[in-house]
Order: sequence, then C-alpha cells, then structure tokens
Amino acid sequence: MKRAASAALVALLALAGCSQRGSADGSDWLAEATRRHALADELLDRGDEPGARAQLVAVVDGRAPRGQLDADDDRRRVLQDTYYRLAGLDLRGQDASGALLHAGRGLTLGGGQDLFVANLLVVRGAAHEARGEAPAAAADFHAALLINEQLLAASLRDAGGAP
Amino acid sequence: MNHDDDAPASQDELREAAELAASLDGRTRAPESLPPALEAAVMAKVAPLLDARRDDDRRRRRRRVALASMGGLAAAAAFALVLSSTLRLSAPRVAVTTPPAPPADLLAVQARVARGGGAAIAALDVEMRSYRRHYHDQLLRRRGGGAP
Repeated sequence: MKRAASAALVALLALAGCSQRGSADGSDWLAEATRRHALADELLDRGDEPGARAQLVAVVDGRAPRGQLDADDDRRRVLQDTYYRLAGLDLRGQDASGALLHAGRGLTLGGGQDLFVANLLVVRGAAHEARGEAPAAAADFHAALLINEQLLAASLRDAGGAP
Repeated sequence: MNHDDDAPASQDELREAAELAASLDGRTRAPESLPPALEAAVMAKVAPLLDARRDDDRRRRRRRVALASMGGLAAAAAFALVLSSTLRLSAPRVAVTTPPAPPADLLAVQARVARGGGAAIAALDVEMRSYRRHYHDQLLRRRGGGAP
C-alpha cells in the first residue's frame, strides 16, 4: 500500500514537472530550429542538398511545443518558413508534387497576411504552374500578390514614404 | 419483629429468602467456565478464529493509515500542481515577436515570383536567407537564448 502511495506521488510530481517544462522546451526547440536552418544554409553552399533537406525535415519533425500562447505565432512562422524551404528544394529537384505537399502543410498552420504565408503561396503557385495547373497557380499568385502589396504599403508607411 | 431462630421459617420468609437468593445469584454469578476437560479442545477451535479477527483488525487499521497518508500525498501533489500552473500563468508571458519588416528588395523579388517568374525563386531564397537570419537573431534575443 505504501508502495502504491509512493508511486502515485511520483507520478503526480512527474506530471507537475512536465507541465513546468513547457516553456523551457519552447526555447530549446526554437534554438534547435534556428541552428538547423543555419546548418542547412551551410550545406546548401557546399552543394549538399540532401543534407540540407535532412536538417529542415528535422525541424518540422521535431516536437514544436505549444507552450505559451504568445509564442505560438513565432512557432508557426518558423515552421512555415521551414516548409517553404522544403517546397523550394522540391521544386529545384523537379518534384512539383512534393512542393505542393510541403507548401500545403505550411499553409494549414494558418496565419495571417505575412511574409511567410505569402512565400508559401508563391511556392505553391510555382508548383501548380509546374504541373500545368494554371488556374490554381493564378489563384495562389494572386493571393500572394495581395499580401505582398499590403507588406509593401506597410513598409513604405513605416519608412515615411507614403501617407 | 420477633424472631425465634429455632422456629421453622414461615412460607413468606422462605419465599423472600428464595427471591433474595435468586436476585443475588443473578447479580453476582461468576462467568460460566468450561469444564477443564473441554477447555483445550475449545481453545484449539477458537484460537485460529481469534487470530484471524485480530489480523483483520490490524490490516484494516493499516489500510486506514495508508489511505489517509495517500490522500495527504495526493492533496500535496495536487496543491503543487495548481501552484506551479498558477505561478506559470502569473509569470510574465513571452512577448510576441513581431518579425522584422521585410525589406523592399525582398518584397520586390517575391512580387516578381508571384507574377509568374518561377525562375526568381532562387533570388527569393537569397533574400530570405538574410531576412531569416535577422529574424532568428531577434527571436533568440527576445527569449534570452542568445544567437546560435
């Protein structure tokens, strides 16, 4: 009976420990993701495309924790950017279906009208184009352009170049 | 009352004495005891039952103590859990990291790709590299992780 009580206590304390660790894992995941992106750049510079892809796949396969609500947008952006890069590598390798898949996965993460979503739309449009799917490509390019115009307008506004 | 010790007792006196004896007998009767011949046999039968009952009592007492301590431990752990989540909720949240504004060159290349210039994707990748580095540095700085 005492053993059961000790086991219950240990389990509860472990549970408490796990719930405490969320934020730490969030930072760890982010640091790991940025490290892998930098490594993927180096590998691409050396012509090691499979190596770079492996690094990027590790980012999306890693457990990106949903710790703090505020951090979720960062998590989403980093993941979407990774999917964009994977789709770009697919396109380079003439794998339009792979590019569609990766871009689609990135877009299912949601998000607003930002650069990362626009990049995914652009790369998905290019994949559709490569597959001869002109209407789908046009729709994606158009959606990307709408976001791009908003970003450009905001950029000009911030720079004082527009009202 | 005039008593004559040698005189035979009256019927009433005999009845009273009998009642008194009976009542005294009832109050002061010693517990019935077994005949010594049977005592050993009865004890042999009864002893295991008594031992079992004593064991049951002891087990029940131990179970009560264990349950009480387990309840206490569970309450303490639940309190720790609630306290930890409360502390986490009241801790300052990580600020939303607004990504750096994309530079005009990057947006121009992105627009070029979106207008059907698939070949410009390589140029977009180049622009994105430096933007990405900038964004990641900012993310890590805000979270206190330092640059990789």
